[in-house]
Amino acid sequence: MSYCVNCGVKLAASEEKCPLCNTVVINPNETGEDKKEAAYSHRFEEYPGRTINVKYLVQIILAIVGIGVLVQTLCDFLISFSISWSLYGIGAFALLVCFVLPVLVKFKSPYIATMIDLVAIALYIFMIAVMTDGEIWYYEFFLPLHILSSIYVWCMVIFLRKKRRNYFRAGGISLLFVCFLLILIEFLLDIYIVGKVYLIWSLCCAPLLLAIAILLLVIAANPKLREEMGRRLYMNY
Amino acid sequence: MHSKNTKHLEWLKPDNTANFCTMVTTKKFAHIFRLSVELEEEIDPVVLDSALQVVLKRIPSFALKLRYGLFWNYMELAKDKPVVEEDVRNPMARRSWKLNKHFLFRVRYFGKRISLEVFHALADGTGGMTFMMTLVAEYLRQKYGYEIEESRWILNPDEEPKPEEYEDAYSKVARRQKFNRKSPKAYQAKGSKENEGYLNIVTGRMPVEAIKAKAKEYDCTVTAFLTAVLMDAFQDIQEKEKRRKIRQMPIVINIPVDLRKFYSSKTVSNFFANINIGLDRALGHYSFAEIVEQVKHGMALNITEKRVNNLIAGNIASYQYKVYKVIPMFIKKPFVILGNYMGGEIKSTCTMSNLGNVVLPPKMSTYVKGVQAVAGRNFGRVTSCMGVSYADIMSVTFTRKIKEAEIERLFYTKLVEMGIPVEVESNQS
Repeated sequence: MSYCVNCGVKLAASEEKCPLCNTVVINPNETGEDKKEAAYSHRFEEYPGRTINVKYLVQIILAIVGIGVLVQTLCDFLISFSISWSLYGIGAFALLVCFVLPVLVKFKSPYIATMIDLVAIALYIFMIAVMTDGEIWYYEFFLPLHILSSIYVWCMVIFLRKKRRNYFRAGGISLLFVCFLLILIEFLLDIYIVGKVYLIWSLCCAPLLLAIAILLLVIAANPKLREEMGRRLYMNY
Repeated sequence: MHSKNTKHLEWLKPDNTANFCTMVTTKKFAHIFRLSVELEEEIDPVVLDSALQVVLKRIPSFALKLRYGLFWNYMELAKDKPVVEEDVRNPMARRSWKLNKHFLFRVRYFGKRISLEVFHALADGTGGMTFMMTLVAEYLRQKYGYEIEESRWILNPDEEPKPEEYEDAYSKVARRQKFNRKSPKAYQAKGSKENEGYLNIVTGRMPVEAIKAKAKEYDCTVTAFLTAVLMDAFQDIQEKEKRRKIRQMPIVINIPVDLRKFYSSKTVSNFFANINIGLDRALGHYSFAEIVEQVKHGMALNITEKRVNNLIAGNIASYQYKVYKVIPMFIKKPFVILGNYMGGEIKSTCTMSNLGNVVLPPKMSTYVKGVQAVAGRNFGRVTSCMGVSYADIMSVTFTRKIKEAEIERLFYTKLVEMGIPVEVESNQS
């Protein structure tokens, strides 16, 4: 029989501390043998919430979209007795399958799944380029951009797989990427349209992005600065 | 499995409270309350399971499961059998009924304790306690050969269910009348959010005689006295608030009133109305004696047949608009949730539900050691309070979804200061 010195309430035998003020109650007259059973079970029920079977959902979506693609292919064939415009739909469906493949099949490494997605995008755009006689813009404009984007996506996958993530570093690298991407887009557009390189608008944006990227990378490399910022921006909610 | 008297229970239009409870239920929130009975000996789960099947045939309104219609939800009689399960440290956390074979209640056991967790759409505290005590009586009959005696809280499991036990009592008694529900926003305590899936439960046990004596001293009922103590605790917390606007917000305690007192209904489903008793804090600090006077007269003014009938009429009328009836459920549900929050939750500070005195037949009371009632999570308010008395002990339980226990600490400390000894127990040890 113990009383909380702070609240004055008597504590049930199951209570090791006062549940009202958290004061630990030590009764020298009580031995461990006097302890009664707990008032509540020790079993803790994990509440999973409402779970959705994602695999099943993806299968249903694929089936519905698949039926749609089948119908449009049939329409195309019945109208022109060949498969022409329906190839866009078939290609898009194949691309969708590649995107949701990790849900249906378990990959050992996320790099493989990412590689499949990037290759699938490149192939789908290639198909469109071939069908529209646009191989030149594909090789001269899209492919370099896609390769650069793929490198960035791979960097992000590596970052997300890290246990200790430095978001400032990721932000800095992302801004650097956007900076180079802008320059590359203008560079490739100039070559493709005019034939000569006149960098104007990308150079207006690049210094600003570069400055922010450097700032973020400096913060990322300096833990003391990060801690100081955390203290200054602390919000008591 | 079910008797012929349950034929029209095959599917059922929910009563007013059930309709409301099912509509405001979300992934994170459902109105659930819990009743526990502590026996003198360890619980035998096999016997408990067998007793549950018998009692469910007697009170089939608990065998209903929730179905979702296009415009309204409805209840359907479940064909399979519920199972009893081991109790947990974080009761009332699971809002999904899927693991219960879609039954809207759970029977749990731990040590010497049987607990019943009920979705409010099925029954109110009185209905839940009737189911619980009938279950305990049947358990004792199967375990110890106890001969069941019918009483206010116990139905005879050998009898057939009666239609009046699961009638929609609200629509039977409500009269058509005008109603006005305008009330100001009430003060609500704040705190650090407790982890998802966990509710802090603190039970204080005190001698009924000591409470009664103190209530008599202030010339009020036990419920009025406890409500006054709770208001006083909230007043102390409110006075520490920094902003004057918040310090002057009214403290409003929501008191559910059992309507069986006014109308002779035998329903074990819902039949209660919520009365709000307020303290106008803009007028300044109140002494405890002044609070008791406010509560006492507030209750006397509001707990009358005319007032409660007006409340029921208002609740029913809000579902009667023709346009509202034909709007699909998925469209009106968010508006009902918002309406409940704006029109109900923010207009009261806390709930103080007193189930009253549970009197059992003398022979049965030798097996039953204690009774406990626990209110469930609220949508907006951080804490709720539920009390019940049995034999010579009154237990008042606080349920809270924040980490700080300041409200109940002040509540129990005030009782101790008045000379009422309090023993506390929690699910945190």
